[in-house]
Amino acid sequence: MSSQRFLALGLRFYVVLFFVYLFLPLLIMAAATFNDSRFPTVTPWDGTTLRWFGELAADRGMWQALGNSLIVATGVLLIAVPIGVATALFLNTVSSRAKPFLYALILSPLLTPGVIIGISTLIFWRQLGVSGGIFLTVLGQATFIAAYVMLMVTARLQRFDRTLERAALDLGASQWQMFRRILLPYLKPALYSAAVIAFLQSFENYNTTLFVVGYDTTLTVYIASQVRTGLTPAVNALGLILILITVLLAVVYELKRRREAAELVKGV
Amino acid sequence: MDGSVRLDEVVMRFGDFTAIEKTSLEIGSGEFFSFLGPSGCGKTTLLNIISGFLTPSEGQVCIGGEPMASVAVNQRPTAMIFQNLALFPLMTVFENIEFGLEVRGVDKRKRRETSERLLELVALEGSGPKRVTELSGGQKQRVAIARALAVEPRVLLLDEPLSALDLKLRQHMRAELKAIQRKTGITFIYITHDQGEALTMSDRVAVMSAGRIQQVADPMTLYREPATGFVAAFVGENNRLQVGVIDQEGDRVRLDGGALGELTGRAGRETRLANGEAATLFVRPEHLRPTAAEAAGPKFDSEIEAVHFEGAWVMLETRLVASGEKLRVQLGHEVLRGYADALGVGQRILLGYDPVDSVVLRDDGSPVLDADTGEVLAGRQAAAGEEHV
Repeated sequence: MSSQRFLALGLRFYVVLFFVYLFLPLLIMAAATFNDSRFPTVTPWDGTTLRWFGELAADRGMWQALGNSLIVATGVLLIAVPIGVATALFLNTVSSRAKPFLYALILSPLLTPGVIIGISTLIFWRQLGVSGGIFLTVLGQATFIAAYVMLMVTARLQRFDRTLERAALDLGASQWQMFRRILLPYLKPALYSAAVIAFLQSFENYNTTLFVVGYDTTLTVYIASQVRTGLTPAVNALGLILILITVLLAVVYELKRRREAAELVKGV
Repeated sequence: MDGSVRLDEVVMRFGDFTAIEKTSLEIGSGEFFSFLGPSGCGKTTLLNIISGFLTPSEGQVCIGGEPMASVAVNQRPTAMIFQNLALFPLMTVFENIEFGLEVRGVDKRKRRETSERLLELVALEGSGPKRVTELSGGQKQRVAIARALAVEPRVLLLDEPLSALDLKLRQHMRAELKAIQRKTGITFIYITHDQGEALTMSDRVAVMSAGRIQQVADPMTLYREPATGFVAAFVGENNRLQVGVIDQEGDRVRLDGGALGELTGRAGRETRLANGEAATLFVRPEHLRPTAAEAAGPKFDSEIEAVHFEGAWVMLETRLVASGEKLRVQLGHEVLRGYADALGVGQRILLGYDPVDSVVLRDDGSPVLDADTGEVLAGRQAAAGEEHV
C-alpha cells in the first residue's frame, strides 16, 4: 500500500474519530431524554418515555432562568455591539504608537479569567451600592463580549477601501452620512455575525455570571445548581430543544447565504 | 463664482520631507489643465491640496477667487475622480450618481432627473438600475464621471482615472473626456504620468518633478520649447549629448562636442549661455535624418545596433562611432524610401539634423530620467510624496 493511500485512510479515520468525539455526547444526552429513569443516563434503559418534556414544562424555576438568560443576552447584545463597533472604528483611525497598547487594553478582558471579571465587577459595583442581579450580569458579560465584537468588526474594517470614504466626503457627505450610507452597509454582515456571537456568548456564560447574578438566576447557573440537588432528564429535554433550535437556525442561515451567493454570481 | 483655481505660494511638508516646493499657479475657469510627472513628483499631493484632503503647510488655494483655507473637503466646489474610481460597490449606478445629491437633501424625483441626464451624457442610458459590480471597466469609468458631475462642481479633479483601462479604451476615453469637458465648460484638473494623455487633452500642462513645477505651457510649446532638461527628456523622446558652449549668437549656439567635433544647436527660449559653460544638446529622434557626407550642418557617424519596425515609422538604435553614446532615430516612410538596404544591424549611417529643431539647455541640476524606463536617475530622490495621503 502506498504511503499516500495510507495517509488518506488515516486522515479519514481521524475525521470519523473527531466527529464521534464531537457528537457522541450530544447523541447520548439526547437519547437520555427519552429514558424512563430518574437520572439522566442511557444505561440501564428503563423504558421509553416523553414524560421529561412534561416535567420540563412544569419546572417554573427553569423557565424563569431561561427568561433571565434571554433578557441578559439581549442586554449584552445591545451594549456590547455598539461599544465593540465604536472601539473598532476608533482603533482603525488611531495610527500612533499607542495603538498596540490600546488594542491590548481592549482585548485584556478576553484574556482575563471569567471568574476574575465576575468578582471585580461585583466588588466595583458594591462600592457604588449596586448588588448582584441581572443588571450586573449584563455589565459583567458585556466587558469581554464587546472585545469579541471589536475583533470581528476590525477584521472586516481592515478590508474596507478607504478611498470610498474619501469619495463620499468629496461628494459632500458629512462624516455621519458617510458612516450611515457607506461604512455601515459595508459592515452589516460583520454586525450580524457579531450580534449572534454576542448573544450566544452571553447565553452560555457561567463563570462570570455566577458571581454577579445575585439572587436572580440564569439558565446555566440554574442547571449547575440542579446538579447538586439531583438532575433529572428534564435537563436533557431542554438541551435537546436548544440543540434543535440551533440546528434549525444554522440551516436557515446557510440556505440564505447560499441563495445570496447564487444571486451574486448571477449578478456578475 | 467661476471655476478658476489659484495656488498662492503653496508648500507641503510631511515631517522633514518637502513634497511640494513653493508653488504658485493660476488655472483659468473652463481650462483643461494637466499635471504631468513621474510617480512621486508631488502631483497627487497637489490634487489633494486643491480638493481639501490635505491642508498645505504654507500658502493657500483659491477657487473662483475665494480662499479655501476654511472650506472643508465636503464643502468645496470640487469633485474628484479617483484612480481606482471608488464607486460604492453596494449601490446601483443610480444610487452612486445620486449620492452627492442625496446627502445634499435633493428630493428623489429631481435626483433621478439629474442622473438620467448624466447617464445620457456619458452614453450609459438604461444602466441606472444595474449594480456597479456588473459594469465593465469603461462603463465604471463613465459612472465615476457622471457621479462627479452630478454635484455640479466648478472644478473636476481627475487622478489618473484612465490608468486601469486597456490601451484602446484609454485612447477612446481621452477623446470622450475632452468632449465632456468642452460640453460642460467645467475646469478639469488632470493628473497623469502618461504624457500622451496630457498632451492630447490639455489646454495647458504643468510638468512636475521632485515637488517642483518645471514648466507650464501648452502641449506644443512643451514639446518644442522645453524650459528645462527634465522637460526635454520627459516630454516626448529625446537624445541628449553633453556639450560645451563655444559661443552664442542670437539663439544659434556653437558647441564643442568633444570627440564629435564642433556642433550647432538652437538655444532654448530665454536661454543665454556663457562661453565655455557646460550644456546639453537635445535632438529628438524624428529630427535625425540620414545625410550625405558632403551636406552642410552637423553630422554624426554612427553604427546601427537595432532596427525596430513600428508600422508608421522605423526606430533605429545607433551608437556614435566617435564617442560611443547612443542615439535613437525615428524615420518615416518618406525618408525610408531608397534606404531599405542601408538599415541593417552593424551598418554605418551618417546622421544629420537641422539645428533649428534642436534645443540647447544649461545643465541646471534638474533630475535626469532614464531614457528607457522614465525613472528618475539623478537629482533629488523621488520620494514617496504620494504615499502621504
